[in-house]
Amino acid sequence: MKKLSLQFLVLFLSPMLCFAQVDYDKIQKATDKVFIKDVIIHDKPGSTIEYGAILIEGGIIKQVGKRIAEPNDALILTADSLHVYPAFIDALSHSGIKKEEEDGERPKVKFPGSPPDDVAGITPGKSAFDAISAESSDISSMRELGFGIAHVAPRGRMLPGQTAIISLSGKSKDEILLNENVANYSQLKTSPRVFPSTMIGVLTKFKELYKQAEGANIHLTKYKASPVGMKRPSYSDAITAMIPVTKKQQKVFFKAESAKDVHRILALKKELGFDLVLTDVKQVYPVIDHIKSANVPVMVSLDLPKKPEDDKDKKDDEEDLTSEEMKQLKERKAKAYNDYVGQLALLDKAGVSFGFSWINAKPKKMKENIQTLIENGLSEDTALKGLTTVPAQLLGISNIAGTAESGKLGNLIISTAPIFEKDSKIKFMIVDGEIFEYEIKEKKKKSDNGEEIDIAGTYTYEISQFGASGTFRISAEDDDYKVIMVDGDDGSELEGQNVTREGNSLGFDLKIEEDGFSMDVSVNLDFDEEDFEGNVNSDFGAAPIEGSKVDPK
Amino acid sequence: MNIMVMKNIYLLFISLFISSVLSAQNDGDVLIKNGTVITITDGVKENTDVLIRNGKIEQIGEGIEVGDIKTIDAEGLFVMPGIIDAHSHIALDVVNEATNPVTAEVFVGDGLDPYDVGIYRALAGGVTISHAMHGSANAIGGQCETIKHRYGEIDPEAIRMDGAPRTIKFALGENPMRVHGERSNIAPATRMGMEQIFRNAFEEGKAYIKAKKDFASGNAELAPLYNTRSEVMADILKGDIIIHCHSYRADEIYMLLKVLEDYGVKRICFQHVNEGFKVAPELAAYGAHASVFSDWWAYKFEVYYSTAYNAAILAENGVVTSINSDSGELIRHLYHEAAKTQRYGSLSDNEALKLITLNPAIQLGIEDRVGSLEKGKDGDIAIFKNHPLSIYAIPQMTIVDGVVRFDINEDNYDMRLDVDPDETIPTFFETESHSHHGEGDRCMQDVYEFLNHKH
Repeated sequence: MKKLSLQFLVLFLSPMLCFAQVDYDKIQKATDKVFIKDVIIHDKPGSTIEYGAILIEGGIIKQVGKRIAEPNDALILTADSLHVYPAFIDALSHSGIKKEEEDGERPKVKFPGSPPDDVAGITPGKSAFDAISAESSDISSMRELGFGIAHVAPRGRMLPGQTAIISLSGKSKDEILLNENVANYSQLKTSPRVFPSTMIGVLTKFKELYKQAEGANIHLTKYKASPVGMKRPSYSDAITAMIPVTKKQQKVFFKAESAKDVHRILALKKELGFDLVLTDVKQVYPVIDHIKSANVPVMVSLDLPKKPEDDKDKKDDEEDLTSEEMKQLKERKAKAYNDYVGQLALLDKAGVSFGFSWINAKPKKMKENIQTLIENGLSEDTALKGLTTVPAQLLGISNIAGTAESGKLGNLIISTAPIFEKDSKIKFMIVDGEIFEYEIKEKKKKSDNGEEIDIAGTYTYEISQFGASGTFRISAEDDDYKVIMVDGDDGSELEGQNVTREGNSLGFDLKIEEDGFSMDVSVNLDFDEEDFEGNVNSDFGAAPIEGSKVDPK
Repeated sequence: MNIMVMKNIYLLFISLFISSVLSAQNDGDVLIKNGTVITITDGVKENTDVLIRNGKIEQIGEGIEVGDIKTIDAEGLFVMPGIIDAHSHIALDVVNEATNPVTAEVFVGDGLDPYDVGIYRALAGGVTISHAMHGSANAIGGQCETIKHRYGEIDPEAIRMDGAPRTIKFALGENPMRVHGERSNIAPATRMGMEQIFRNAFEEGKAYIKAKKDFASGNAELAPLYNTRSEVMADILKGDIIIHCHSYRADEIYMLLKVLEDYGVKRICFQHVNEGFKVAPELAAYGAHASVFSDWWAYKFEVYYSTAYNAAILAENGVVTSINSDSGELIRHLYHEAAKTQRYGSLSDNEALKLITLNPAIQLGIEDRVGSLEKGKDGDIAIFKNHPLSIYAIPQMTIVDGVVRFDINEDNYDMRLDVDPDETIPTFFETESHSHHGEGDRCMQDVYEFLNHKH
């Protein structure tokens, strides 16, 4: 009773407390100097300053070295024996841009063969910066993982638009822009039910726009020289936006996930001649020599395949295979996995420098995946370069970012151990001289240690083999779990039966009925904080399913 | 062994591997000894050798002896030119850009899939070249690509047959009418509308040629805005692109002949052309070609009136005729399909084999390089146990440009080129035979999402 009345009191008084508050954001800080001392400074890849100090003033690194006088007017950061790195640079991602409803209602088009450019996904002039929300949780979560600067591409289809470089300082939108209209972002992504609805349509359209932009440029130049008597130039936004690409004033970051797409995009570059950056390449190993001889920058994806596990392979349909077939299949899968995890070490040995982009890969898995690559031959220096100096150079910001040297932006990682070590934790992030401190806590134990995570919430799911996606709503009352599956296509809901939880795994059954056809499906999901992976099993076989929590805190 | 030594061995291994990849050649040397050689253009030769160097046939004769060269003993086997399929959709990631009745601008060669295990399956049926076609959803579909079955190469560029003439897919009848007329309520909804679509597209090409000429001659200050579709239509008018037209009914086949005559377009091969037997003399007079199924019909209304004698009637009337697959399954036994013309039409062995070798080569404009075994032609060979037209024929080995791409003795369980470490075995729903469109007609692939009803 007493507790309740106290709560009531707080509730009653809170409006008054509001009146009494001060807007601390507007109070001038006591100092804009930060002094970090007695730290191990990894100032750039391959270089270390043991027990040095760094002075940041006004958001800029002023001094780095062993003997720097401690100023008496600076904020002193207690970071004794910690490791300092230049903050990472995200070579390309959609950070800060909300995911659009891709399966939502699409505008009706009378002639699907000639839709308006925006319906076709042809918006090369669209600005990523306009679409960025400074309040997006992406910005703080990227920062927490060590990133200080992000190169952001708009979301969209074949020609989503112009990229922007932003600071991950968490400040207002006015203060985070480093550079706008940096590059053109392109992908082989089609537009459902209108032209270009196929990859060959996308490639044709790209070539046509490019050649139209070349023609438009000639017209504009002639007109500028002598407009009298000449037809006035009037070209679409899309054509106009491609002109800087044709004049090589702007690079094209072209997403090419598979080796096959790398071949296609290299052929496109060869035909048209633009400045290409291969982006988000996941399957590198078959095309290392092609990438090397094409001499184009490459941004790789850290989206690694899962390691094939022996006993996980036992599924009904695979039992039809003979033991020799099964053995060969397992060997091939194991080899393919080794090809993926070993490919960046080989790319490095071939002398190709690369950065990391984050269109598909989850930044949260960065450290785990980099460790896997390091175990398979990648050097730590190369990994660090890919996160710092390589993207800095490519984005034209190596004079202000990428290393922890004087004159550069005050963007630093302060870590409890060498950054790629398993037990290292980021204790501080400094971005534009702003300090962010993180609580070092023991990692949540997984189910094998007995501690369970809270899995209630709404999750997206995707069963890529069936092209199915939607959401799960999972709720719990004590130990009783309820699962509702919402189909992403038609919004129909289906409740899971026989829901059981063991450790951090959830199992349930679904009875799917469609067109008079019914199928029993059992679903098993393994949760890991905000994501899950699992299998959907039916009489007809098994398919992987994965998903992640919607709007995690 | 210390770590450094191991590392060096590893590096050596890697470098050997890379250099072997780089030196992988598309042109090989091979000597095939003592086979029964079916040349197509120069009779059948017993106990004869075929020597291929740098991918080309250097010599055909008895007792050829050369030094160190890969040699195949073909004693008791039949050696014939690699089979050519004038209509297929293997090795393609995209078949139909079904959003417009005219999509002359797209090119399936932009979407080649060298990893497709369908290429290997075709090789296992002795097929060395196929015509990878756009589908039949549109009146004027995309440009097609003639590919060599160099299975094992992973660069899409490596499977193109360099120098083969450009080709384009046209389609008549129900498919374009259904996709555009029924679905989008736009032209063509009728066979009359079809004709107008072709005429409009050719007019577009003519106007574009004129605008370019005006610019070149100084009559116009600016070149026309680049337009891929008009470029392609103009190239058809100039005779640079061979039309391959999906067709069934005699009336619409005749309609297209008239349209082409009006625009002076000469090179046309009708595909399927089930009612071709009704207009065989007209086709022959125009110089039009025909690529047909041996005995496949009645799978939709417009293709009820057909006969298994179609190929023989067309051939006897002087139409250059071939038998095609249009299917990843049929492509494995085109030799058997060709043999059916001996039951239905009494064609000779050589006439029947021409339907899957020299004639499709003529239709694709590559007859000076392939389609028969002659000195100087490409080293594309199929080796059979038993005569290829026999019901007991079994392909043993298939060679493309002197490189063995299929060998029945090296046929492992899993011949795929790319394995996804995350993959699971395809399930019931994914196998093509259970998808909406069966293994058979891939002409309408990628279209079904556009149609509200199943076929």
